[in-house]
Amino acid sequence: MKKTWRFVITLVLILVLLGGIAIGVGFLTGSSLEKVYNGLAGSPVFTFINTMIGYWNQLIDWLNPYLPV
Amino acid sequence: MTDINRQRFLSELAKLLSCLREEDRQRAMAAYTALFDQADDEQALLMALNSPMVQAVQVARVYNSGEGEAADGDGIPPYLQAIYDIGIAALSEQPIQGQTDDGQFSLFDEGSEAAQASDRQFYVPQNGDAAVSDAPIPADVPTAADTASPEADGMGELAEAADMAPEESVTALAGSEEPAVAEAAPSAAPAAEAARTEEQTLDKKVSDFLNNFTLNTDEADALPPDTPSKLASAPRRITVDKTLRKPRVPLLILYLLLAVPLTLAGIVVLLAPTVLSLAAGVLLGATGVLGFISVFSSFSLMCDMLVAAGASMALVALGLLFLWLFIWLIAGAIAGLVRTVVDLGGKWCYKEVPAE
Repeated sequence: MKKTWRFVITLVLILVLLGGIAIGVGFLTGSSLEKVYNGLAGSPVFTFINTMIGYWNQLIDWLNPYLPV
Repeated sequence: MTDINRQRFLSELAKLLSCLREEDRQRAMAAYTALFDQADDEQALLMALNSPMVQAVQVARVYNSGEGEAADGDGIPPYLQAIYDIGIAALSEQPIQGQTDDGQFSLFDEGSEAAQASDRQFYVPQNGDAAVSDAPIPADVPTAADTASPEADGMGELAEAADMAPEESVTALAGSEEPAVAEAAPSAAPAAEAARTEEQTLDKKVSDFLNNFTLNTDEADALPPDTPSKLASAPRRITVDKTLRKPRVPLLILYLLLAVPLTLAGIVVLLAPTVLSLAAGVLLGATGVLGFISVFSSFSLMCDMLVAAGASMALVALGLLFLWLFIWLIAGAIAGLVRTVVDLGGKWCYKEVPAE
């Protein structure tokens, strides 16, 4: 269990480090949040995130006792 | 009984000494035969010699180290010298008490008290403690070299007796017995006493080890079929758990009444972060993977691709972390809680009582 913890943490740190380097290089070479957001519109990940947000809203509505019937 | 045991000992030893050259083997067997002939009490000698296996190992060890050649100039091969030392030790020391169980086969099953050292007529050379040469000898004790010349130690006579027939060897040794004993006794007594003490300590250690040693039947059955007969016929002591666990019923009921609700509450409390970890791990992982796939279809500029790919990798990493947290909560925390409660119940609510 202890060795597995070490392996997982190492893997996570490597992925985060690579991701951070990629994000940094991307922003330094001219990218921006707006461009990335516009690029992701209509992509599967965008659809997926929108779907998840919809499910989350339904859950909140179902748990909220003060909503008018 | 005595003749049978002697014959059995010698025949077993003859088989075990087959590693020696035939000529040397015959000389060794003649030496052992001479030992038996010279012993007043064969049972005591058998007890002191322990077993044919032990003797064969000792002789073979010396034989292999010296290759049967004479080490010193007196013409006595080292292995024969070792046999003489063994015989001297066997006949000059107190008989070793039997270390076998009642139900175990033993060569020395009766007559163990018969031998008395004071009655022995066996020739004891002036370095009578040579058989226990490994034992430390006090510095102030005169050794055999101080008190006797090599010619007078009688070892050569014993060697010659070993080469003769058993009957001849007895006759040859008979004339030189008592003077040598009279000379050797005063100088060798302190050293022999020290050696005897050490030997008794060693015997006690061996006895303790044998008493604590158990060979389970499963282990004995697992021995390979070509295991030497001595090992295969080792005593099989079945280890039996002689205690029983009996529940303290009132305490057990009380513990169950308290522990079950508390454990369930703990599981519910732990299930909340477990489920949340699973949900977060799945969502983050799926988002990261989909984002990584979208990188190559949604962007045309390398800089945008790098930012999207980096964000996806970070999401995958977080998803992986949450998934591992979920596994740890299930296998470590919840299972550990249940295991701890069960162990505590077994520890508190059960007592061990001796079996009938």
